Amino acid sequence: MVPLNRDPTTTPPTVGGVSDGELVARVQAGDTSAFEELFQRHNNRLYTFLARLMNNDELGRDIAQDAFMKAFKALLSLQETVYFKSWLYRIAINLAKDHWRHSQLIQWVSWEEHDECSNIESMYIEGPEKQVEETELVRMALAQVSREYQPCLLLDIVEEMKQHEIATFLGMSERSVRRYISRGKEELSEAYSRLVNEQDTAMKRRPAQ
Amino acid sequence: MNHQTPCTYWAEMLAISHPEADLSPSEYAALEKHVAQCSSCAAVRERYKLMAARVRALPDVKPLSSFSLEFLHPQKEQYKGAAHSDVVVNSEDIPMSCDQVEELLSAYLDNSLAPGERREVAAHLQSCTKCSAMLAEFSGNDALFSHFPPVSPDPAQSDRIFSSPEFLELPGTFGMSEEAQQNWTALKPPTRSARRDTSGRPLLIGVTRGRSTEPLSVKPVAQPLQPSQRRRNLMSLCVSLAIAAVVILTIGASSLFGHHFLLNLTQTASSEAITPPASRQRGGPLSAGLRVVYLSQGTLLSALSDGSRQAERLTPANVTVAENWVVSPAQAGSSAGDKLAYIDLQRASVHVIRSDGQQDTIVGPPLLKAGVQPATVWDTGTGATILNSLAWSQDGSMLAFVADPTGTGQTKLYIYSTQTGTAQVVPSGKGSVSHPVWSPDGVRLAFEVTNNGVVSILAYNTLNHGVLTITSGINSQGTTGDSVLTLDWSPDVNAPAITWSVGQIGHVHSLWMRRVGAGEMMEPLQLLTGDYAQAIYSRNGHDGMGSWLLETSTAGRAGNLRRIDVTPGTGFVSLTYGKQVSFAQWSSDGTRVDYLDAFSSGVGTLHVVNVMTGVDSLIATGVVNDPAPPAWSADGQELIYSTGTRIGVVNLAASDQTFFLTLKGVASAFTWSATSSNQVVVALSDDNQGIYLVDTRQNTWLQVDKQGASGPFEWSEVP
Repeated sequence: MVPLNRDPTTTPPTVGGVSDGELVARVQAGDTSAFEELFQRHNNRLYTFLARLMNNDELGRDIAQDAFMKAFKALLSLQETVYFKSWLYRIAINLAKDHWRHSQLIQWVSWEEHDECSNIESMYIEGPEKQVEETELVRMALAQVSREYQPCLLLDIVEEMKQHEIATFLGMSERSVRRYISRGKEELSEAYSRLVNEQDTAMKRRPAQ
Repeated sequence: MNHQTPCTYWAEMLAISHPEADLSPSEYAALEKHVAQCSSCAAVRERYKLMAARVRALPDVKPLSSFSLEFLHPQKEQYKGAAHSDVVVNSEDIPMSCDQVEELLSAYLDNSLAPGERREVAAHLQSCTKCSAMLAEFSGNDALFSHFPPVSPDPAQSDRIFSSPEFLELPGTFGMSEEAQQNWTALKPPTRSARRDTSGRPLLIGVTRGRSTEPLSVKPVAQPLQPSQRRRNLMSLCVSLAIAAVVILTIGASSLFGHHFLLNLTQTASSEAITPPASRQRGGPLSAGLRVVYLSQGTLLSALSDGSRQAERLTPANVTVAENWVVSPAQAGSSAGDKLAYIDLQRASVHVIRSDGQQDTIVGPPLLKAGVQPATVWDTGTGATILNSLAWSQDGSMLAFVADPTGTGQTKLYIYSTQTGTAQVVPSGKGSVSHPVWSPDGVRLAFEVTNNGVVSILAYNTLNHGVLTITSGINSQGTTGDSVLTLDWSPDVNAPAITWSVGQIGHVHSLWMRRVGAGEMMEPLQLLTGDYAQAIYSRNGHDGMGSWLLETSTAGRAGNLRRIDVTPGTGFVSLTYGKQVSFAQWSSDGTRVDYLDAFSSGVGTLHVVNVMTGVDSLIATGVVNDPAPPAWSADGQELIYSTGTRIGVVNLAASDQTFFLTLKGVASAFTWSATSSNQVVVALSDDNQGIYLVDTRQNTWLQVDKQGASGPFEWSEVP
């Protein structure tokens, strides 16, 4: 049986039968403890999503924390309370973008420096202990995906949402979502293959012991 | 390790993780078929799947420790005694600095600021070009909202934006003048291909998911918007538009519209969503194949087109199906739709059911306010509006319908998505909505709004959630009794246009059109004025551009036929001379028109005129149009008609060759097969009462039902 309520923007009632919308309404009415329940409900998934998006667990955690703070602060302005989850994620994605914006400025300084030492082969040639594990390759590949595609891509892969759900969730057209996911997956696979190749090459060049 | 290149056409679809949910059944089938044959595409899809699996296999993140509310203490103040109103949180009067505003820009864009902060940022942006430019740049970079045009402070650019179709679709609704919102009357529903202003059926419908129609499981569904919510929505909407007009355009509109008008109105899942139909003959799903569907005594019945079985019950036993039920349009690879939608008169709810009789589902909100007896509403204008409103989008993924959830007679428009199982209320402002009509591409939904007697036509864009006022105050100048008689779309997908007739029954005063989207017109264009007895629209007329058929009248007497295309600058073309046309209709393909001349005592002479060449052929004398008007085959080549006792079939492709069916009797309805010009469904109402499948080539027939039916008959396909 197909689950009937497939709208990703709302969270179905949980064990207690209380929906996000009801919790939000309770917070808005002054019962701030209800926010704790909202936090418990969403924090793990949001955190995982952000950790992948930022490609950094620490950063993901900070941004998740920040997103909850902002959400709590602005909860009074949320009118369609059933959309709490979608709203929360949008706040988080915007925070992530803020972060990228700032980090771009910082990285600007170090490009040259980076170029000089970016002889990737040298990283691997030293020995098996430097061999990059697959998980690391996956992380590196993720980091190389264009940022504009990342939110859609990760909602697809990590949250395992359907494309029309992502479209509703992010307020985008389904066509754009499809395009972004397709390009994101292509870039991701491409980057991963390249990294694997580079590693293989590096391994081969390693003098046989 | 070298990558295969996927076929361009399929490339994007290969990345879809849930193709069964994100593609239509036919697209999905086509994709699977292609992948099965194309090793490159199969490899690419496999590669994507593997990659996604690798990402999912990344080590789990350590959960956040619990969220201490103490942490939030400074913010908690705002909730003390807070109602839902606009509580000013930041009330200090010190204006924000550019640095402070910069910090808040992204939150401003996603509408996550506290109301007070938001106001301050907005105020700052009004006066600070530097921050406005930064906001524009910031939002312009925002790929999430890239379906809006990018914005920069360059004035030429902003001119382009503010004249773009996307922008024009946003403020449309609010351009309606106060005077314009004053007089209106309900419209007549459009018919399917040939649209008449005297009768007809609305278009489409269908979808699954929701809950079953087991007796007792009918509970009041979540109410649509409460009035106070609705006010707030409108306010926030206005705010967003104002902001859009000042600086951006990018964000607010899509997110606000999307958010605030989307309502989850569908019931939560219930595990018994499959309701076995109480079949007349048998239980279980109806067998696969092309089927004719018709209404008999509140039940939809369905019979296989090969006549191999008696008709079977399609709808559950505990519902009473209203007229104007609709079948979803045929999709690529099938000859008829596979979903039906109908209204249950007993409980005033919209249902969607699969063509095999399974998964009967109540969609959206109840059509009437809780406690209102449905039987007291159906005979009213509001009831007629609701019952005539079901309309399927072209791809069968959306069902439009109208409901009166407040019991005030102010009907609202809803769109139910078969993909999400949710219903959405369409922002239509004040007034009563009637008569939704989907554009051929399924992107836009045109409808009428009557507010204090003033009739307007609006179009809702399902992609950007904008509402465009097509025309307002139809009856505010000129004849006050006028209303919209017929409303429809030009089928040209590349230049979507809405066309409509204005007047009163028996007196059509003007025909109009207006393009929307690309090639948009700022004002409606009047195609024609005058006083016509009738104006009938066909999407297929004029080689698929859309054409109107007009019946002139002289001193109340029936007159001649004229044709006018939905193309700016064209005049009408006379089709007949010296005739007394009393009944006319388009052929299915829009190349011909049939009409009855010299109509007297219910009998007339049947003619067919070619609308392009004007060649007129006399087909038969002594032809009746009631209760069974002549009917065209799907290819527009054959016409079936009744003389009252006998049934004739004329083949226009073969020198108007006519023969009579061996099946004799008083016909009550005709419907040609959706796929074959050799098969027609005939309903008889006299001694030979019943539903018959007739093979016109062999001139043989099969009875599939001993009961008669007055039609209409529609085709559905059970996959």
